[in-house]
Amino acid sequence: MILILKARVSSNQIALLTEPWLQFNSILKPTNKNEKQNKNKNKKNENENNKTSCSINGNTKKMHSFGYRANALLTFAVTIVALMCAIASLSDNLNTPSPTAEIQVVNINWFQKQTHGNDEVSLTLNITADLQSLFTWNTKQLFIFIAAEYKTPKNALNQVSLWDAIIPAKESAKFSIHTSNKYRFIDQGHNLRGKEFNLTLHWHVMPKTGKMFANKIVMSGYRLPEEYR
Amino acid sequence: MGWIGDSIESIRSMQIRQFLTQAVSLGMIVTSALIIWKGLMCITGSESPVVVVLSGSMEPGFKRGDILFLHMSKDPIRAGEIVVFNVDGREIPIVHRVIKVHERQDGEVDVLTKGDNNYGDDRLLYAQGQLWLQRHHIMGRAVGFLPYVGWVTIIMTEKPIIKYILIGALGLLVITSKD
Repeated sequence: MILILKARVSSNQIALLTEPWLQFNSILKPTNKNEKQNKNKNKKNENENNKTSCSINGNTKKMHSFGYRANALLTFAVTIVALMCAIASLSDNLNTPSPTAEIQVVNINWFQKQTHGNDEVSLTLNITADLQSLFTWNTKQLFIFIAAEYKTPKNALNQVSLWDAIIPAKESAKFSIHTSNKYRFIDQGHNLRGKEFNLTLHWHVMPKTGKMFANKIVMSGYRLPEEYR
Repeated sequence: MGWIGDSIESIRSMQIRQFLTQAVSLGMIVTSALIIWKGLMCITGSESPVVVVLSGSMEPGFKRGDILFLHMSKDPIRAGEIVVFNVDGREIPIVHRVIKVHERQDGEVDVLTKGDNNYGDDRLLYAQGQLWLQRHHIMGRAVGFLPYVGWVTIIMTEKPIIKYILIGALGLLVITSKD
């Protein structure tokens, strides 16, 4: 048997307390409909009880409350996880990093015009950087790269990536490296002779979850030689 | 006899009413999902504001099954950004990092991309003879990241049986829940 309890919620609303979802339903509906539903429900229950045994009735009720609880638990868990992710992502804003970097062009290995007319240059770089302050508890990794940036008559901006690295942990975020360019430094055209360019250290912070951050340090005053070699 | 007919009548009307309520609430769920999706499209300006990473080419940053939130703004594309692009003749968009940018005076842009975990750049993935990506190839740039959640869609697309079981179970639940 299903017990039907009537309770006064407010002066003109009556809630059913048999099962939580029913309570929810009935609160949303005006009183007279509600009472009608109650009557209907009563009649229906009587009918059902005539036809089916009590045990089946009891089972369905149990299943329902289990499903209801599982649903509530899942919703709650997902909400908590989402909230924690959001807080973790927001907490990144509290960090004010102060990274430092220095890049030297040690050598121009070679400098030539390709057969189809584009200038290409090969450099050896000396990179020293301390990026430890970029790491927070929500940092999965740091992607850093060095780009040569310059202007040509044709292009308002050229960014050519020369070298990149993934820094997985704070311990390895302070480094000094001597390397030639990993990616080819090729111009669109032949404008590189005597060209002044910036070397920019970019970093992209990849979080464990949430928003990605990016910033850069621009180092200017580099110049390529006047002649091919 | 009178009251039996009466009660049957009332049960029938109840069932119709319940059926209608269920249909309406189901419709509400579907439409609110659609509203959220379209709303995100408007806010982000991207055709698909949320994408699932399918390959390991951006590891260890993005793994298979991670979710990326895209944003498409008028801001110029710069080196280092992670963009989602469509190559002519390929159906599935690719998520890779921009490594070279050549921007003309009038704003036209040539872009070269590379996956962090790939050895070489993406020219092999582009259409035959294509050296650069232009603005119109790019669908958006990744701005946010959520791990693991995309596995649900990967599993559902790769094992359709699970999808049907899930849909069936949910449907059964909807039908049976309000007896």
